[in-house]
Amino acid sequence: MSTSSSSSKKIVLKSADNETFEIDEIVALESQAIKNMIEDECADNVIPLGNIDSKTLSKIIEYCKKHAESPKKDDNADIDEKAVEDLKSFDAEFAKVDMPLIQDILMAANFLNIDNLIGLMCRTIADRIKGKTPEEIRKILNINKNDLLSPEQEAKAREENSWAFD
Amino acid sequence: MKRSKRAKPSNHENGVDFISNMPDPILQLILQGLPTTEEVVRTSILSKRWRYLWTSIPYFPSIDLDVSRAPKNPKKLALQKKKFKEFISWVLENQTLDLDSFHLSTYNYYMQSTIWRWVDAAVMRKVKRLDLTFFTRGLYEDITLPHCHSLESLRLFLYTRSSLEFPDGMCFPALRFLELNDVVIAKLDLVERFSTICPLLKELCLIDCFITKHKWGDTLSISCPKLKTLRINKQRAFGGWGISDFGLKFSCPELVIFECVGHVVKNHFILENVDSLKKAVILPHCILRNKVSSQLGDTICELLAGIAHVESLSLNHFIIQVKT
Repeated sequence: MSTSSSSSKKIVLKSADNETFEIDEIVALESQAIKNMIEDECADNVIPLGNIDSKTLSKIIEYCKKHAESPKKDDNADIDEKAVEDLKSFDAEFAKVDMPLIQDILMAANFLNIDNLIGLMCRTIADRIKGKTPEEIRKILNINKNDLLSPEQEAKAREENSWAFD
Repeated sequence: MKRSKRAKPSNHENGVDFISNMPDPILQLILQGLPTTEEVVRTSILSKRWRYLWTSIPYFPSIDLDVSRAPKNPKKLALQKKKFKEFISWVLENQTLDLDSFHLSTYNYYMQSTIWRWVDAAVMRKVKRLDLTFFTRGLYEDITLPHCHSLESLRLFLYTRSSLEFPDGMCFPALRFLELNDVVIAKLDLVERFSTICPLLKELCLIDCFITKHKWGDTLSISCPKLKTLRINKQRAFGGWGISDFGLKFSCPELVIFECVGHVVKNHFILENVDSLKKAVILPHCILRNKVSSQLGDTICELLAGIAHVESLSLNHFIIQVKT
């Protein structure tokens, strides 16, 4: 039943701060978690997402819309390169947000099980910490001071793979 | 924004460490996005959460290691080399999944046999890209690469001129990019055999390469049907016989970019079948005046006439000198 008639079906998502978003079902299906809910017929008209705020959710919907519209690889053997490039530049633009929002999107994408988006956010975080000192990385990732290694533990960790540190 | 159930930005400011609260597979994905293997290993000192995380990465699809930097404390070198060797066995040899790339730079720290054992392991794992930089201790040691059907890109940078040999029947059916840097090519015909050894070759770079066994007046001839980019550069000054001591003859019907820099043009210099050429960079090194023969002048004139259709052409005054 996944023809064009069913793709115009609407799904409503409700954010933690009680904002509702009506989207095409095909867009919602980008989320494996929602897809499972729909397939198991345990999705009501409104799907409450109690741990995702509206700012994050609207970003995620923006991403899913774009990716749902783009031709999938298996749709068409000779997928045109322009569509691939277009999606790439969309992703690059999409990832230009601050770290707190990246983390929120990553958490939500993990919860909603959107593989591509998880990958994109992880690559973005890797890009931001690459070439940085441990001190800088801790700051970027907001690592809690209580969680740091003791000086002895750190010395041992460095010793174990000294070739990577010198 | 109202502080509803969880106003996230303020959590970040309050020092809530979201990333570290993520499940392992997510953090592993972040680690796998780091460009070098060393950077991945260095995350072990970030915090308790990150301490052993990298050791749980299912496998490294790309291995990028540079141990060529001398350690601050020379006394630690032996230990460091040993640790590194252990690490390589763990990350390379104890795995079986396909490997995307293996990039290794080791100065002169390991025996050639050790390095080739690692390369063999990478080949076993169907490596696509190999990039090797190392010193070999003895001069002119022979190097024979293992057969590798999966290899798409190969870069060899051997500081002390080891000599490369491809035995008969050797084939890299998928190889598209080949760069040899400071490599001694044992026989002239090896270059000529590139078209059969690597039939799909698109880009060939010969940088500071030597060819040992040849006679005076030999011609180096490269004819690769699929070649799009050819660079033959001499960047460093060195004595002995370089590529420039040969007549040069190239016949590559699909060639788009041709670059020949730093050589002394002596006799033949022939470009054939270059209708598709778009960019030519021909910057020879000085040409000794007494060697400038009228024959060389004719050769250069023919060369320029043959590439008159290119969109971009770079020449230097040595070419003009020969022409006039």
